[in-house]
Formats: sequence, structure tokens, C-alpha cells
Amino acid sequence: MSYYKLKDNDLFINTLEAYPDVKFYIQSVSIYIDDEAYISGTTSDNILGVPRNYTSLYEYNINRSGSYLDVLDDPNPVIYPYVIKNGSKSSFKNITDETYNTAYSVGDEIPSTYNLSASITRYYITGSNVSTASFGPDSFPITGTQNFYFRALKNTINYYKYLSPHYDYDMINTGSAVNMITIPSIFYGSRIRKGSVNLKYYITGTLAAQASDYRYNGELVQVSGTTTGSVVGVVLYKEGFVLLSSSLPIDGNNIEYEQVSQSAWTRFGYGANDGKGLGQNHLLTSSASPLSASYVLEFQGTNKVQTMTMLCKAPEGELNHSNNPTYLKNSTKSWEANSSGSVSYVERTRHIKNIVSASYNDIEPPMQKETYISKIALYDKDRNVIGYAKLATPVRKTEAREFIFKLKLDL
Amino acid sequence: MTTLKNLTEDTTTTRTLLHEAIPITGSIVSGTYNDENIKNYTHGMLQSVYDYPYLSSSANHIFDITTGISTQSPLYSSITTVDAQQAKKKNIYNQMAQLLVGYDVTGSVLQFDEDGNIIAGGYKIDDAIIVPFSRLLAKDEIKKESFSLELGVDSLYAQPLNKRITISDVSASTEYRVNSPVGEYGILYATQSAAGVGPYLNQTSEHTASIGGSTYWYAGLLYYQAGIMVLTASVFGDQLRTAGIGGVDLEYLTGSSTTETISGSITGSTIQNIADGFRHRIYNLQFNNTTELNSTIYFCRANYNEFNYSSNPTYLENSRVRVKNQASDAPVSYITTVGLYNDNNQLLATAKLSEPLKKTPSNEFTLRVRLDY
Repeated sequence: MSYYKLKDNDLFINTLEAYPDVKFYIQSVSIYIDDEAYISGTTSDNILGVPRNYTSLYEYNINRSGSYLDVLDDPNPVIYPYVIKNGSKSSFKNITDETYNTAYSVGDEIPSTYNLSASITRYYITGSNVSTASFGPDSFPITGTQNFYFRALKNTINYYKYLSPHYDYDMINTGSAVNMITIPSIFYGSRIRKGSVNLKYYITGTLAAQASDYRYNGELVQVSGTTTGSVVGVVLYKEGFVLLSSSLPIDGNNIEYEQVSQSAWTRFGYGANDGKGLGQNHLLTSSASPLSASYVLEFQGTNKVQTMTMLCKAPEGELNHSNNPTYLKNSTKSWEANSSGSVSYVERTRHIKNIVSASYNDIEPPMQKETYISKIALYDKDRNVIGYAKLATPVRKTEAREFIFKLKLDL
Repeated sequence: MTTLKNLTEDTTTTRTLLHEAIPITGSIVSGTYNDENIKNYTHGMLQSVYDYPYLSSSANHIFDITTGISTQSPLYSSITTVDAQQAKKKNIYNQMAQLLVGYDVTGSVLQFDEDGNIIAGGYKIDDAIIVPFSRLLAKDEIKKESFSLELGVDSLYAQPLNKRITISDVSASTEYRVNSPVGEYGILYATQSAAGVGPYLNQTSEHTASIGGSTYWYAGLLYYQAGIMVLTASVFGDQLRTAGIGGVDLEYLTGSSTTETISGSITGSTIQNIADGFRHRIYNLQFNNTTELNSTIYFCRANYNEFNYSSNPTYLENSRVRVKNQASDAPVSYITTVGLYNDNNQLLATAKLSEPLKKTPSNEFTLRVRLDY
């Protein structure tokens, strides 16, 4: 075993950028994430333990049911985390200070749940809410909770005006409806990849319109359908928002959305966790049809993974000796035993095993020092092993051969 | 205004222990999924148990089951058939023993000791059912004195759970052992379960200990950091179990026409069959685990005369501070982010507030920034 120091040109740190595809298919107020169907379990509606339309963040409680409160009563109870109240004051985020101080004594378990989930959410911000009230120096909408979410994006939207003039809060907030779709970062990583956003609007199964950010500047441009070429909205790549403001009809039929109306990009994603049901509180008009629109929102996320690459060299004429006991001939005959006397201790001569391949049985080939490299260890400056790289099959190392082993470590 | 302040005595480190309660119902490991959550291998050395049919990408591996036999076992020489896998059972025992127990001064592999006191000698676990738990469930370690396994010991294979014993690491939070190469371990003891009427444990057994005035039967060892349970096969034999519960020997395994006792299984059946029989007799299994979370806490203090201005472009309007109408007005800023810098003033991390804090010369804040790793 020998030590080698990694030199400057032997060690690199690179960033690997991956672009995973993400797809949401929205139909009849259900969301299918990456085309995955729901699986009903024997003890839960969805084996992942989260509501339909959502992805499970832990995928830990598979086909388990119940909460930590009735963990003993269920046929397949849930796994749940807890901390014990002590002097460190550690708790879960959903435990308020008041609850922590009053509901638990020192030594008590403070439980939480693993069934965390995430999904896209659509906010349909109507014109009446947007423009009827004012607050402070600027005219801001103050009615409707959802408007606060949109208002909070004003600076962010305007910041990206250098990309496109369509990043303009006032232009999007024209007084009519704004369709805001929020995408949790669990789906896209550090940012949505530019040029990858694709929106498809289906009516009774036929593609009626499609919008894409093919200009790579955040503009969502309609690329098929009646208003092809027009900008129908923008994307906030880093923040994970899709804002659609075009209310131009893309189909002549009336459909029962929030109101009975013709389809438009402001209706895109109807039923995506927006609290809307299949049947609204109004009667269908004779010219309207029940909800028959479905939608696809697809994009690529961006995941950055830092990798360390190390080039470990096995030079010619080196690493040809092993401290492995099997490297030596195993002949412990009596006349070869170690000898010791009152003044000396003499170790017997041990011979290296000749493992050179030969074509004949009765003639031993010329001796060569050969080893088989099976693993490479990484050490810190104090010579503590901090990692191993194992080879799939040992590599035969002769004195004439040299190797470079490429080790890759995801950071 | 971005202002850099040195953190001198404003940092501290803490360690939080996060636990999880892991319940595993017996019907899940044997029954509910018609063994579609059980993976057997061609090498036949172990069986893997999942929490859902393993062909589903959602399934999680929860534990393995295998069997080991020591060469010191009286049953060892009785294994004569190839199907009984003598060599594999021996190798598994030795592999596990050298990992979990270690070697003596001569370099020989030590056997599992039923009370963990290796120097004192005493009884050894010759025939073991070994259950390594998945790292997903055991995490950093199994929490001491949280383990409980309820096993069916009724003689009849068809209804094994009518009579049950409970195996737990009672008193392990203070009585755990440290003489293992892989960390701490506790002694597993068997007691009478509440189900049915007893006694189901051999009242004249020599494998007992008294804890808190009650009698417990030595049943195995639980390695907390390694997440491995070593259960003596005697929990299904007469050394621990009352002989002849139900009038006949325990039917540990059953085939189409024959039944086998636990001894017969060890000497005549495959590891896979023994694992099947063990799963068949699990009524309930639960334990808690522990994960250590280390944190550094930075106390970022904003004194009354600090951080009242901003270098944000919106702070100015027509080259004047927007929030001041006249020179005597107090400045105001809103703190949204705390940046952590290294010695070279390079930004390493930012901590965001859920909502901005209004900062004026009349108030002070201490922002507690916690970095978990």
C-alpha cells in the first residue's frame, strides 16, 4: 500500500447541471404529476399517504394510515417523527411558541407528521378584485386573499423587465383577470429552465392552443390556435410562477369555468387545487357544455450537482508490491521457521509468489512482480481513511503497465 | 445598508435528537401483500422484507431476515442435507459474529453471548435468527429501551398468534453493553404477552434474569448503532418456551404434508424457509430511532443605531431618502435578509425572514440564525 498526494491537475470540482422533465396534466379537477396514476391502498386512499393531486415529499408511509394520535389502533399505523422537550427548546416549525410552552412538559414527546406534500396551485384573480380598491400611495387591490399573493410579486415582475417588456405588473394587471399558477421549488430545483415551458390547452381532447417560452425570455407565446403569435403571459423562472393574462378566446364554445365563458388562457389549469369543483353554483346555459377542458403544463427544472473528480495514477514500476499475506508464498516449513536465541531474532526468508501466467505446467515463467488493484482509499492530511473506491473487478498491475483511475464523488 | 459585523462570542453549537416511531404490523410482513413484498434471492442467504410489493417504486426496504449457526451448536453436525445450507448458515453466523462481537486474543471469532458478559462466559447463542434493519428505519441508531417484538408461540402453525410472548430491550437505557466493535447493544428479554393465558415461558429455564423483581428470559441481542437484532432460535424452543404448549412441539414450519419444529427447521430447512416461518409468527414489531442533528446558532444583533439605513435603490427617491421628509426624521429600514460571510467577506449563506422587520433607532433585534448540518 502506497500513499500518493493528489496534485493540482489531479483534482477537479465541476458542477453538473441536470434538467429533469416535469409534467402536470390537469383534468376534471385532478392533477396527474409526471403521468403517474394514483394507487389506492388497502389502508389508505393513496398509498403515498398524501391527498390526490399532490406529490409526497418523503414517500415514507406507504399504504399506512391514521395519525400519530391513533397509532395503536390502525392496522398499518404511520411512522411519525417526534422530539423530546428539553432545555434545547427544539421543536417543529408547526409548533407555536405558545403550544410549546403550554401543551408539553419537559420529557414529553412533541410529535409531527411525515405526510408532507407539494403540488401546483392555480389562483384566478378577477378584475373586480384587482382594481376596485386602493391602499397607500399606489393603487393596490386589497380585497380577496389571492390578490395579496399577486401583489407581492410586483417588484419581482418589474425586475425582469430587462428580459421583456411583458414583465410589467401594470400590463399584466390590466383590470381583467389574471391567472397565476404557482410551482413549488421541489419540482424545479434552482430554477425552471428557460425555453422549456410548454402549455397545452385541450378542449374535449383536442389540442386547441399551445403556448411556449421558445424565445427564452420568459414570454409565453401562443404557438398554435386562434391567436398564434401573441404573448399570453410570462414565466418567473427562479420564483416558479406562471402568469397568464390573455383573455382572448381560443375556442368558440362556452364551457362552465368559474363563469360560463369561452376558453381563454386565463382559464388555463382550471381545477388545479384552486378550490373549484366540476359543477359550479350556477346553472348551465343552453349554449354551455360541462367542463371538458384539460391542460398540460410541462417544463424542465434545473438541478445543480457539484462533483469532485480525482485522477489517481498508478505509475509504471510502482504499486507492484502488496502487503496482503497472500502475496507471499505460504510455506512455513520447519527449516524455514523464524529463529531466535538469547541475542538474536532472525526472520525466515519469505518469497513472493510468482503469479505470472505460463503456457507450460512444468516450467515456471520468469518472476515478475504483479499485483491486483481492487480498491483505492482516500485519506485526509492526518492519514485517516475518509473514503473508498472499489473496482468492479481487480485490475492486474504489472511493472510495465500504468493506470489512471478516475474517481468521481458527488458533493 | 449592508453592514458587516464580526461574530465573536455570538455563536453556539447545539445537538438535537430527532426520533421516529416505527410501527411494523405483523400482517404487513406476512399476509397483506401475499408475500409480494418479500424478496428472495438465488443465493438463498437472506430474505428481504419491504413495506409494499417490491416491484412498486414506492416500496421501501424495511429489514432482512437470515439465520446463522455456530459450529459449537449441538445442531451443527446434524445438518447433513445440501438444502439445509450448513456452510452458508455457518458463514453467516461467523460473519455476523466477527462484525458484532469480535475476536478473542487468539484471533478466533467470539460467539454471541446471551447476557453480553463475554469474559464471564455463560450461555452462548448458538443458533440465531438475525434481522438487520434498513438504515432508512434505524437511522443513526435504534433508541434504547424502545424496542418491542411480539411473537406468536402457539404450537399450531395455522394459528401461531393465539399465544404470544413479547421480546423487548427492557432497562436498556441504563443497562446497555459497550463491548462490541460496532457500538452499543442491549439484551433482549422475553416476557409473557398479554394475549391468551400462560405461562408460555419455561419457568424452570436457566436462561433468566431478574429485573426490578420480575423474571425475564434471555432472548437475544440488539445492536443499536448497527441496527441489527440477533434473536436466539430458542425463543421457539423449549429452553425458553414452555414445553408442549398446545400439547405438541411447536410447528415452526409447515409444508404441504409435514410440519417441523424449530430444531428441525435449523437442521433440515433452508434459510428462506426459516425466514418464512419467522415472519409468520411476527405479531407486531415496533421501535423508535434517533437522528442527531447538529446545529450552529448565530446570534445576529442589530443595535439601536445600526441597520437603520438601506442601500436598496428603492430607499432613495429623487436623491433623497424616501422615508425622511426632513433632516430630523428618524431613518427607517426593513430587514429582510441576514447574510453570513467568511473571513474574506465572501457571502456563504443567507437567512431570510418570513416577513420584513421594521428597524428604527428606537428598537433593537437579536436574530437567531440556525444552520443545521
